[in-house]
Amino acid sequence: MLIRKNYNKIGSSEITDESIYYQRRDLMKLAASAVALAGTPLFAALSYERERSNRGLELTSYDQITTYNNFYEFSTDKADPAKLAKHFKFKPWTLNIGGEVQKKMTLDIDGLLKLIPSQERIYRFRCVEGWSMVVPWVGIPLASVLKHAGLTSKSKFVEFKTLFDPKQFPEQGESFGNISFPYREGLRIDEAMNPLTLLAVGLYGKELLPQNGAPIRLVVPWKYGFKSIKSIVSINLRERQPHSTWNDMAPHEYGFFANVNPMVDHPRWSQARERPLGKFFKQETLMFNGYEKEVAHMYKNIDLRKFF
Amino acid sequence: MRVLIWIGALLPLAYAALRFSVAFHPHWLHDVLVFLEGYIHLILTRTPTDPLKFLSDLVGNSALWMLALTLLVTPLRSYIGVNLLKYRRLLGLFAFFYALIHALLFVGVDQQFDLFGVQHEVITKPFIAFGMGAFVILLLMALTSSKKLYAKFRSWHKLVYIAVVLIAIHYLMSHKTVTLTHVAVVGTLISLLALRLVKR
Repeated sequence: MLIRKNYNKIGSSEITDESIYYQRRDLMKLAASAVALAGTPLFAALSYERERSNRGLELTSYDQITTYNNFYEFSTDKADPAKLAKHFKFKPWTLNIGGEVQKKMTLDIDGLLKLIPSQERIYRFRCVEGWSMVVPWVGIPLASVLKHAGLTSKSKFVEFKTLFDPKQFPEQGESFGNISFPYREGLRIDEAMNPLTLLAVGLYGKELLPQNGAPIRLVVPWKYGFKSIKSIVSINLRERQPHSTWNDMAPHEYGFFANVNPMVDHPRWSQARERPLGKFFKQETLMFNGYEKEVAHMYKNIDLRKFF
Repeated sequence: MRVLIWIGALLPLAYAALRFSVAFHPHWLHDVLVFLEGYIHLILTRTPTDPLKFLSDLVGNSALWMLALTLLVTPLRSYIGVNLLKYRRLLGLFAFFYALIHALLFVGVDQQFDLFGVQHEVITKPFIAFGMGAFVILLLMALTSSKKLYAKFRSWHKLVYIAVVLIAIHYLMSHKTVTLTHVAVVGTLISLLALRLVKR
């Protein structure tokens, strides 16, 4: 499936240097040859349909994407997950798809990728805290997965859950916990079926590292990053709006929709601008994170100030 | 002692300079830093990923701890008999210096010198208002810290207690969740305040 997307508002400063782009291709070749030589390494390169261009977005480096992570199951410190997740075991992994579906499914990641071919998507990623990056994800559209399970008239929302395993996630076993676990997130069915919504299994052509949500995570590029739940074990279709961890904790600060919106501030900080990783100066935040054309129609009749 | 305070107080700036110059480190320095990293829980060999946040947090925390040290001077004297009173002004000025960088980063870089924007943030966001309130108090204290003016405005310097409370709240609000570390930091500030109030 090839989806045509229209990325507007791209400044000339955002256009990637050609040399960087080609370095990236070299990296892919290197990764591919590494696989050929080593057989089955721990973090294998993936086969996927390449995105034809980076759409004028300057990619955040692999190093930055994999060392600056909000993953509260490991720690509230952003540098910690990369260190603490080194021995995280995610093979084998079971993903359950259930709830209001025609056919309940239990899959491992290989089975899922055999069912649906993966593709690359270069997306902006905007954290509710005010930093942002551009990530070349590899994944499959959530819509294709849900179509396999089959929707019913009662499939109105999708509920996601992260693995609960205090042996692997140290913070899940803490009595003075930072948030309640397991982490939960939800989408409305039209948001889940939007062609942009991705279940990612890799980035930069390689399998996801644990700190980025291995082996499978959600990516909803027009919403704040906390909606993009990591290390998913279950996807359940629901008739009612499911719980969402941050929304439950502080509903006046984190909405269920959590659409990126420069006009609606967080009660403690402005959302008008963002800090691209690696840059000292801020840049303007775009409505729906730059995906207005693809998603604005879903919120036509909604007051986005009230339902933020 | 004065030299020690200068060195200690400038360490955060030196650390920032080190982190922002990683790309220009000669090999020998890199090797030394890698060695050190094995012993201390501090990143030394990476350019900050989120530079504005890194710097803003670093100077903000430095201001907080230096202000805490100024609060320690009186209890040290009355309970232990160590008199560091003549260094309190220097410590206080360093606290202000770091608070000034912190405030300038907000006004200059975060808000790009848009003063209406700053005003809007202060009015609509208690988090910003608490921080700004504390900064204004530190500014007043710094401006009246010369011997002559201090004699005149001495009682005004009691405002530092309010500044510390504002800073404690501002610090707590700057994180998404409250962790044990945050509780410990605020606990330290409150204990220092309590020590002063009890003595009275």
